[in-house]
Amino acid sequence: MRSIIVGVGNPLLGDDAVGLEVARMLKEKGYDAKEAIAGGIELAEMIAGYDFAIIIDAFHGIGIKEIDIEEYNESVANHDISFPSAYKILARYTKMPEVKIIGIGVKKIEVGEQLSSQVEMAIPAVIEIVEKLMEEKNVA
Amino acid sequence: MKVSINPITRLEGHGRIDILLDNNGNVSKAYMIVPELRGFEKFCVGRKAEDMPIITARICGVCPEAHHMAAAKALDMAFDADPPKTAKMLRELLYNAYMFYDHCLHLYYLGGIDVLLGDVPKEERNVIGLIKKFGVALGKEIIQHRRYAMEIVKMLGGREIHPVAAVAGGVSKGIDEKEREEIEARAKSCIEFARKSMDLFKEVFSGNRWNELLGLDSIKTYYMGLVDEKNRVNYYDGKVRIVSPKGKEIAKASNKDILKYIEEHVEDWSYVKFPYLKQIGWKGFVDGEDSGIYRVGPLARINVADGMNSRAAQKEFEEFRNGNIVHETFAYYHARLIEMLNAAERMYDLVRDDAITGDDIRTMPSEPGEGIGIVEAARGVLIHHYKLDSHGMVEMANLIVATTNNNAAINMSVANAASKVIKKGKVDDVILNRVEAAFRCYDPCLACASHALGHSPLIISIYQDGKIIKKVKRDA
Repeated sequence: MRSIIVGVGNPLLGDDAVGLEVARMLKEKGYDAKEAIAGGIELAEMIAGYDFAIIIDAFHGIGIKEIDIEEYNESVANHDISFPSAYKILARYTKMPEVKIIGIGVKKIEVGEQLSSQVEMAIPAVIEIVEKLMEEKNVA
Repeated sequence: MKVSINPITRLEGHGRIDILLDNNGNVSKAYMIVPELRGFEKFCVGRKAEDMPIITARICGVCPEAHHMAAAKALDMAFDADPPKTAKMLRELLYNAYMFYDHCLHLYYLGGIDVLLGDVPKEERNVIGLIKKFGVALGKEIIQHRRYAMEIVKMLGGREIHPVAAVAGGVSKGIDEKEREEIEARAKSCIEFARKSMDLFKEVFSGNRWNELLGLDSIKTYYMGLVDEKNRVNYYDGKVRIVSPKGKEIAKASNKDILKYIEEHVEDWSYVKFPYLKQIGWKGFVDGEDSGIYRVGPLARINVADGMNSRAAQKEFEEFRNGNIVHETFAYYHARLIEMLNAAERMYDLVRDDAITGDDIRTMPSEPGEGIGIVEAARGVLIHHYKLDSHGMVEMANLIVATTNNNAAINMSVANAASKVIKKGKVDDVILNRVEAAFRCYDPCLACASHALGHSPLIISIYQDGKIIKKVKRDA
C-alpha cells in the first residue's frame, strides 16, 4: 500500500505551521511526508495516485480532532477550489486515496515563525495518532 | 429575504462586495472591499536579503512563483548581479510553466466556467458540470497538462509549488539533457492542449451569449504591462509599457523608474489603496483619457503590446486585437487563452535552445543596495522594492501586487455589471453570479492584495434601506 502524509500550513503564520512541523518530524522518522503551503486543488493533486493519505492541518479551536473531508474547506482562496471539490473532480479521473484529516486546534493565527507552547505540546500526541493510523494500514 | 453564510477563514476578515440599492431597487453604488492584515512588509525588515524569494513566495498559495521571481529580480538589482543568459532562460522557462498552469486553473476550474457553461444552476457551475457538457476526455487533459506544467516548475524550481531555485544573480540549479528532453515533451503537449482550449472557447466566443457577457462591462482605462525590446508580451522581464485608452504609449519604464509613474489613492472604506497614473491624476472611479485608472493582467498585457513572441499566439493576437485596443472586461478570458498558448510555445522555444543546459547560471552578488523587481504575475504587474543595509539585511520592503493595481477597475466593473443585471430589487443566484463573473474576469487574488498571508473567501451583500436583503458566500 502506498501512503503519504501531508502537513498543511503557512510557515509565516505562527501556529498555522503546526502541520508542517509534524510532517517534518514524521519525515525524519522515515515516513513519506510532504509539507504543503497549499490547499484545494494543489493539495488534492499532491495525494493523487496514493492508496492512503493523512493530512495534518491547524483549525480554529481546541484539541486534536479528525476532520471530515466535507468540512475541510479552510483552504479556499479566491483563486482556488475547495479540497472536497478538488478531491471529487480528481476522483473521476485518477485513483484518489482514502483520506484521514487530523486537525490541531489553535487559538489564534497571526504573523510569526514560532509555534506557541500549547500547540507544540500537542505535537507528540498527533504523531502518535498518525503512526497508529499508519500501523493499522500496515504501511509503517 | 436574508441569506447568511459564515465563512471559515484562516484569518479574521474576508473579501466583500457590497451592493447598495436605491428605493426603486436599482443599484446606486457597489464596492469591493478587501481586508488588510498590515505588517507583512514590516515582517520582512531585518531579514537576510537572500531569504526574500522564499519568504515572499509564502504570502499566499496562489502565485508563489511570481513573488519568488519578483524578489529574485529585486535582489539582482540590489546586489548589482545581472544573471547570465542561461539563468535568465531557466527562470523564464519556469515562469512560463507557472503562467500556463495558473491560466489553466482559471480557465477550466474557476472563472472560465462562467464563459463555458453560462447561467446553469449553481450545483452544475463547476468543473464537474464542464465535464458533463464537454466529456470526460477533456477533464483528463486538463488535469494532465496542469500536472505537466507543475512538474516543469518542480524540475526547475527544486520544489513543487513553492520554488527555491532563483537566487540573487541567477539560479541555484541548472538542467541536464535528460531533464531538457522531459520538459520539451511536456511543453509540446501543452501547446496542443492550449490550441484545443482556444478552439473550445472560440465556439462560445462566436455565440450571442458571449456578446451579452462582453456587454456587461467595458471601461476605457489605461493599460500597463511588461514588454520585451520589440514591444512583445513578456511575463518574466522587460520594460513596463503604459498605453492610453486609445493605445498611445505614454511611458515605457524600467524597473528603476516605474514607481515614478504610480501614485496611490486612499478611500476611507477600503484598506487596499487605489493606484493610478501620477501624470494623469485621480479623477474618481471614472474611465477615459482624463482618468489615471489603469488595468493590468492578460487583457492589459495584450493591449500594451505590439505582438507575441511565439507563432500561433501571434496569429491569435492579430485576430483578437485587429489593430484596436480591447476594453470589454470579459475579453480578459480571450487574452488569457492567447497567453496560455504563448506560455506553452515559449516553454517549447526556450527548452529547445542549446543554451538552456549551460552551466553558467550565476553572477556573484556585489555590495548590497536598493532593488526593484518587476514580473507579470498571472493577474498582472507585480513589483517588489527593497532597500538593503550594508550587511545585506532588509531595511525597507514594499510590494505592489497585481490585484491592487486593478483595485479601482475591479470596483468599477463590479458596479457596472451590478447596475446592468440588478433591476427593481430582483436579485437571485444567477444575477449575482453575473456580478461575481465580472469580478472573476480579473482572476483576483485577495490574499495578495491584502498581504493577508492566508485565504479569504468573498462575501456579496445586497443592501436596501440600510438593511441586508441578500448575502452569499463566493462558492469554491
